[in-house]
Amino acid sequence: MQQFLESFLPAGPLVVFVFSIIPLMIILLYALFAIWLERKVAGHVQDRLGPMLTGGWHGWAQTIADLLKMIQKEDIVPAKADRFLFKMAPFIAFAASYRAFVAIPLSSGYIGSMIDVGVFYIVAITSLLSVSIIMAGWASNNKWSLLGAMRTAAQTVSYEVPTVVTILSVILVTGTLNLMEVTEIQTGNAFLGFLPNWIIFHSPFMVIAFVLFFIATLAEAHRVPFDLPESESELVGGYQTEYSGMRWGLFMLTEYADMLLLSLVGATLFFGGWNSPFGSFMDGPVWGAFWMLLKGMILVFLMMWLRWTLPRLRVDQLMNLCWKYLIPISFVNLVLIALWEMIF
Amino acid sequence: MVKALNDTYTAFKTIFVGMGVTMRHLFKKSVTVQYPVERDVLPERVRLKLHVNIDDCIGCRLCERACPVECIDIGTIKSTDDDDLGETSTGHKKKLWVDKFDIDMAKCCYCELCVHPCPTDCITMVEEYEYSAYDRNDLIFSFSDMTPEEIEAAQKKLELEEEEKRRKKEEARLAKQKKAEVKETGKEEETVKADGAGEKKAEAASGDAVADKEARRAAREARRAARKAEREAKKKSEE
Repeated sequence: MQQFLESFLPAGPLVVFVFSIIPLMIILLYALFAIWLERKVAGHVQDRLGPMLTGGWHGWAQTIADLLKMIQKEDIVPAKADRFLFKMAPFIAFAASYRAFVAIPLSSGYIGSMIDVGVFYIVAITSLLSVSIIMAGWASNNKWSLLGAMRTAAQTVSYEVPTVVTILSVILVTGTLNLMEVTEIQTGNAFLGFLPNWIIFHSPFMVIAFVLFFIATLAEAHRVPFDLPESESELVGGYQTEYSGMRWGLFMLTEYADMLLLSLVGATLFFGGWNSPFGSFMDGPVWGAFWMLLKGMILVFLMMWLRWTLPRLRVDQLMNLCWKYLIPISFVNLVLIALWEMIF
Repeated sequence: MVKALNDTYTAFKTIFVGMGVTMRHLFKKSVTVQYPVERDVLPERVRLKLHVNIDDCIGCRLCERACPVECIDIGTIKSTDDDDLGETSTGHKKKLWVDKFDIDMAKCCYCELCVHPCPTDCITMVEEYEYSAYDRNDLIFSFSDMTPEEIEAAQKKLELEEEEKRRKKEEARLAKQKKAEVKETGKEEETVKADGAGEKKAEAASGDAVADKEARRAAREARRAARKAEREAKKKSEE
């Protein structure tokens, strides 16, 4: 990819710049689409239509209109807020999820950086997100914001454990942390003759691992039923309460970017990343990007579907679920997968 | 342990049931009516804006009287004898010019009480509900089709005719009076006599039922006669 860019761009910083903003472009376009999709899904699940007028066809331009409105809004900072932290928090939040895209192989021809600690890096860098949320909640000088931020801290710390343990069970099979290599291992169509060689089909315990991983990432992305940090119906808006205009928009963008990031990690770890589900058919760097994003979008849709199905958990239920169910099950599952690896 | 497994099973089962429900609704036809573009079919007996077919209005004011909030304001002018206002579509003869028929829809309580008394069915509720206005006075709907000039003309005509009628009446009355004056002198004495006789009779016949009745009748007659005399005396003094 870098060589390809260098063939028609002057070498040097420009190539690096173009190379590095590709995920940003994908995130921005995806966020426009995903917010529209979320509203459509919400509408149709509730037998409504969702946005219908803006842009003509089924309100496709609604998010663009909202974005334009948001940019024009006044940038309000509460008088008693910590101005510096308050203004920094949204950028750190978005930077945290954007930085994690470095280690994700978007296609066989594109990965931001071939670092060997890939997944570990992603897990580490997304923890910054909770730091930024605590920053936002504390700097707002608002009780609701602080409550939301405290919940986030508790939630993220708890749910990091099952996430890491389920990722670990995949790493047991692949033997590498580099997501590009993890994806390359899943290439081919060998398993049982017709199923793709994806890790989810590797053993029955992998299905359990994926379910655990998905639940944990839902909590990491602060999606319903784990959206306690925002919980707009009880905490006004959680850490977002005092934010307005584009700073709030950045938090929104972060939320959706986070959804995509965790879905892409899930797709890479369990569903073969950029591998085509039909073996070598429709394969290649461009198709790879298509498959990768399609798998990511399916998981994102699953998250939306769940959002409009389930009610929010209580704080104690949230902790209960994590410490009494997810963590023990994930540890037992890890041992079982290790045994499976030893036997077969 | 068993409880934990049971809970896990219940959790997954209920989540899948819920997801089934939402998935079903995702592809169900939505109930939204895209309002300005498409509209709901309104029920037959819906009560909405009032409309008056002024050609059929006979100016009877029944609707005005029926209105509990007094939002209907009707003004009428009698038509003159030489004017023919025609008939309504229900066959009623129109005798009044309706120079004013204002309905204040801001006051209207949509009770439909004005619609039913109308003898010619000219006031009705129509399926129109988009008439909001910035000024409350814009909600007063005038249904009369008469121009100010027409109203003035009708009024003038009526005044002229009334003047004419009054004059004729006066003449007739004067003529009558002349006739009456001739008899006047003889009559006066008679009434005074009757008066005295009645009073005497009433005093005498108290106790007896029949006599009582007769006495009362006589008293009544006497009073009437006295009143008549008084009236005539008054008239005389006026003149």
